[in-house]
Amino acid sequence: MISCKNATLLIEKKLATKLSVKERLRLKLHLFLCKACADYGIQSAWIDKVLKNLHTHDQLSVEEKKSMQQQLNQ
Amino acid sequence: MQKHNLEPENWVEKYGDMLLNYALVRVKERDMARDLVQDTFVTALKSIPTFRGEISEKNWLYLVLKTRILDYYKKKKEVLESDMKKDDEDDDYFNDKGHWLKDKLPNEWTTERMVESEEFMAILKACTDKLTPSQALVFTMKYLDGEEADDICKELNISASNYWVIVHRAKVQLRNCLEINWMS
Repeated sequence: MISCKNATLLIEKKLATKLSVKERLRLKLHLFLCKACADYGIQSAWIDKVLKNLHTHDQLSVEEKKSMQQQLNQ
Repeated sequence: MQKHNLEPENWVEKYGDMLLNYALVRVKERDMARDLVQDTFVTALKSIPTFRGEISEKNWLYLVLKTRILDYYKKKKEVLESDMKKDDEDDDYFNDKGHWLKDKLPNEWTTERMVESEEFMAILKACTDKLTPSQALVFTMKYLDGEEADDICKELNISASNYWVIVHRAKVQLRNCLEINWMS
């Protein structure tokens, strides 16, 4: 059986691409027997979803904008 | 097709904040992010003759900034490389047989707590801030830019297996950080 390290790596691959038949079977068997990795899989898919909503909300100060504008006007 | 025009006199006011935030999630240090934005405007201004109006002014400026950020990372390539090597060597989560270390074993999350509250987003942000520079860069390209694995590998000049190792390590670390700070 593949290790937890390999299984979780396959989980990450599976979230983004298609696994080979062999990889799929190996992962399925591992997840059937390993509760921790099965939980990891659910959580990782969920994290993927929320990561796409992560943004920052910073602003340039008036002085910074002024100095940028000045450089552009030169 | 509609041709797009450039209005450099409005750039700072119109796009300054947007570009700053784009840079900030990628380079972390605010001063560096601001300098990259400034640099973007200056470079764009010089490149106006090459603008063919096929994409919008906004997207064009984003492209210029993106190139600046990649250049910045290429200059930091040594950091990136030693970072990746380190990722390969020591493992804080799995033993040498690839089993979870006892204290890092994932626990079940209670689903009713899995809501996207402001508090959670703050924890998520704090946890992503703990990623190494190469992990953070790959994550940004993957999740914020929505780029495909192939393209990220090409842009950063890394192998596919290297890429998956980075994504995997980052996610294991991030998940653990969330579990400790959010679920407890």
